[in-house]
Amino acid sequence: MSRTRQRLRSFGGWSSAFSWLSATAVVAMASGCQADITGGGVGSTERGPSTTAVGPTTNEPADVPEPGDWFGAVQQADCKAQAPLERTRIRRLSTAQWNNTVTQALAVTPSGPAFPDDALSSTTGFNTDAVLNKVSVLLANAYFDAGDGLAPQAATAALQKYACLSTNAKDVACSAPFLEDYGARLFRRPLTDEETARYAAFLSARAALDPAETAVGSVLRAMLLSPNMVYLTELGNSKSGEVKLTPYEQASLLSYTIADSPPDQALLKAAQKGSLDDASERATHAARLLLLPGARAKYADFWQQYLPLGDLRGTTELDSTLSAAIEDETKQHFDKIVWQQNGSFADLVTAPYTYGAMALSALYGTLTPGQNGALTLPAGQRAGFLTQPGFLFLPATASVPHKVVHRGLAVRRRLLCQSPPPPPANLMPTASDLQPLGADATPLESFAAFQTQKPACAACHVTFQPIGLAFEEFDNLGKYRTTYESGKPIVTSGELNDAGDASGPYANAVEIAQHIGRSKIGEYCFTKQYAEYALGRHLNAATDACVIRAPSDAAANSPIQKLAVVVSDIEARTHRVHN
Amino acid sequence: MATMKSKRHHVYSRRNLLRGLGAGAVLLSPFVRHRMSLAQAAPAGNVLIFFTPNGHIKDEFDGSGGSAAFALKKSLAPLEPFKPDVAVIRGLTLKTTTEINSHDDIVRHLTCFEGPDKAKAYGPSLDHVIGNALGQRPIFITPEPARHESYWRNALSWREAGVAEPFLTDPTAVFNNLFAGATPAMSAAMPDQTAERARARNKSILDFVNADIATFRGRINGEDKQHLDLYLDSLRDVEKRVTVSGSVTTGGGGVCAPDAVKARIAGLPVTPVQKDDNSPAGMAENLRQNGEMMTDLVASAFACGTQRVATILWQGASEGLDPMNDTGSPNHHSISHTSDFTSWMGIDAWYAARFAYTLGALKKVNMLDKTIVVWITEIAQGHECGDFVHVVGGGQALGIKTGQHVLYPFKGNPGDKAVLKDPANRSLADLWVTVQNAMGITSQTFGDPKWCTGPLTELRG
Repeated sequence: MSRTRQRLRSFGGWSSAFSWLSATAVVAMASGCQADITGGGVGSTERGPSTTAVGPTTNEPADVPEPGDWFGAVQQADCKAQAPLERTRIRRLSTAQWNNTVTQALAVTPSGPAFPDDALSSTTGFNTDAVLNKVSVLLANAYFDAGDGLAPQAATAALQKYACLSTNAKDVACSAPFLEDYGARLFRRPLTDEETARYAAFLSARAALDPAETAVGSVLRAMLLSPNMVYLTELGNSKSGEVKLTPYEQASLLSYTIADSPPDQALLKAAQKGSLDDASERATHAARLLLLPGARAKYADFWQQYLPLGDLRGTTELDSTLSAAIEDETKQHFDKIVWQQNGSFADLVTAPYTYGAMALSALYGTLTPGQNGALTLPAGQRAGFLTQPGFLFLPATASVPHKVVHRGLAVRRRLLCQSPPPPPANLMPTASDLQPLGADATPLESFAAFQTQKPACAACHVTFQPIGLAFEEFDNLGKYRTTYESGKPIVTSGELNDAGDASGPYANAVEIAQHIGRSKIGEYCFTKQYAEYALGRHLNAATDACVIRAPSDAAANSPIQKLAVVVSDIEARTHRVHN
Repeated sequence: MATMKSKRHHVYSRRNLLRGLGAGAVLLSPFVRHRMSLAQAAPAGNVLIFFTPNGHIKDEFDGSGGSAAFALKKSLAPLEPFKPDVAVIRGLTLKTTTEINSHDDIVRHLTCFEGPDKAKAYGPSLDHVIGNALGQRPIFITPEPARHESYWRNALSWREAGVAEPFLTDPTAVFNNLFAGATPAMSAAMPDQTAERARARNKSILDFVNADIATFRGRINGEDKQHLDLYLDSLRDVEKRVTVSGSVTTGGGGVCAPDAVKARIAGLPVTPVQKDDNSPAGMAENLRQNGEMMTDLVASAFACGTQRVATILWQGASEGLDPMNDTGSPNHHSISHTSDFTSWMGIDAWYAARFAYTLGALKKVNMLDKTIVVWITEIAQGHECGDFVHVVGGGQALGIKTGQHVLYPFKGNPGDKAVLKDPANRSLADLWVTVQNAMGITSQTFGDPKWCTGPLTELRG
């Protein structure tokens, strides 16, 4: 059955910039589709920049409005000029960071109650928001208990290294080396004289009441609860105005951003010498940090939060082996492309191969083993993660219009960083609104009729629904098909509009993926989301354009591994402004 | 890490609450415990059975003078400091003996039912009857048995007819058993030194951290102050949990400080493990230390309210080391059948000193007036189970009238089983009725009802 190229009505070019109403990441679309911020949504569990401003948002330095055309703003930004500075801030350690810090500093494995999960930011969609992540009651109790649990073992080790503590803990000459050593390990910087004196007095007071080991343990417990331990700082010298980060803050920024781990000895030494101002010195350390297991774990965490998996778990349509294989594929695909291939965004989005269990052939058809464990997919049918069952899966109970809208929106939001606004609040859309010809019409027929009958709605729907139509060549489970059960052909061609340099005609979903995978807009959007995850704040294309562009500017087809290096480097060398 | 699916919910486990409260490790007992009830419907109170074997020389192991001129005889001289706290009862008689009417009747002394098998009890013993009524398992301890398994000579405690209660002899096991039922609330209420120190320590750490946060505050951006405000609030919550001190009065109503006692366990001499009835010489001091330690543990458990009923069997019936001459088992038994009255009285006095220690241990934790201590033995003097001497200590708050000698004049020859059953001779079961009444059990009979005439009103104040 041949596919006819369907020309969709395309609306005029970009209208003038739309008013920006708040710090939410709503980006205006083509003319006719207003950035209308209201409550509600299309009912999808879509991740990504939300159009609804629920919950607190991260603070912007000067409340600069988001540009209507974020991609255009990034492309046009002058990255030789100084961008507006971010404010100084503190950032609570994540669970992974806390665990790695304690393990490395004290050579003990933390055990005890698990830390509570962090909330997802409504603006970034990730759980790494620096403003949201605070020390809640649950977390404070968990910190306290964890410290109580590991103090004895840590104190024993401390006493072995600093033997005088068993008899002379009250003596500053004896306690200072211990305090300076352990303080530096836990705070990732040298203690000030004032801090050393305070801890020495505390140790002395405790040693008068408790055995030496207990007193030393109490000091360690107090250090573990210190904000200097629990928080990363980007404060410089805390003087009003523009501040440069301290070398130790720079060291921590690199180390925690890349590998969720505290700076090691080599990095701390470089900080002490002041050599982290040198870009090539920073690059050497960054390359080293990428090799740590924490780096691989952190990237995996990002990917798991970035890629919406849909509700595979609850479904009865797949057996548990297949369900597990689907989820595993999304992880392996990313892990292998990033770490084994040193691959790029284009690889993630366009790869005609995958990594995973052979059980997936139940959904893919023939899988041909290729190089290095890769499985070549049936030719012409698949490209990257957009055509993986993990991304495509929807339960059989999902309506056809829901499926089409859901997949189309996912591409717009996740791959192009564009968020069509939700329907107006007083409107309660139902699936049948999108099927004016009844349930027997194909989705394409339905959409054509919808456009005629409801042009106001179609003005926004045309930005994402056609994309979803192209994905109709994959059923609910993600299996490939060319016709519907009724025998009617599946028309997958169309034209991608208002998609920066990914715009253009396409024959099917594979070509959409290829357009986006090879585009700057796709690469920038991916970088933007990675950076929001890594930096724990929302990025504004007006003020953060140069961060968003930096990996792409550094190299074509920039490897995903480089994202952490580039982003952390910018953060480390850039100044802040303190109130 | 968060996923699109449901968030993991953090569950605060009781074990971590206990850790946070600074309580010592509370290990699970291998023995199943009955439901613990801290708030008893019946009046508060405890029972401690103190058993020594082979009877006594009654001429000297007795009292006189009623209540007006109460005096203790020579073998009970060690009880002199506690004279107001003890009652000496002369003349009670076991009505439900075995056909032997001798040492074997250890199985009948606390059970008071008859039956054909001389090695068997035909009902639960007093400690179990009271324990069942309180919803709590009694504990049965022997500090240094010559023989380490249950057999007839140590078969004093019975769960029910035919089911003997096994005894504990290891101090750590005793500790764990006594305190296994502790709840977090009780741990919080334990004002023992270890927990107090932990709380003070926690407070000092949190005070330091609060000051630390205040200093840190000066460095940060104004927009981040909410981070530290919340941190301080959260630490206040932590502080409430880890520094709150319990009240002095606990579930038991006494001074609850088990950790101090537990700390002594490490220093105890170890009891040799044996199969037969012979024990080596030179073990008297060993027995003293172990027995007094167990006594302190029980007193502590009474005070904490984790235990209400306990039985301590110092040595087995018809055996026993001789602490007077510091020779091994079964020399106590041998001496009790000779005319070496000096040694025998010396043994009696040695145990009287242990009984005095018991009363002192209870007094130290403010539990003596709430605990009825009863000194029992399986034969009175020689192979007969009539005209016993019993010593009762404490229990005043439960209505026991102490500071007196109570005499139930015995008629006839106690070696004759028919004489034992003479209604003129007062039933031992009536003493148990008295004790159970004091513990809130209203029944007017104990054991076989036909041998009960009612509580010993002389013993009720």
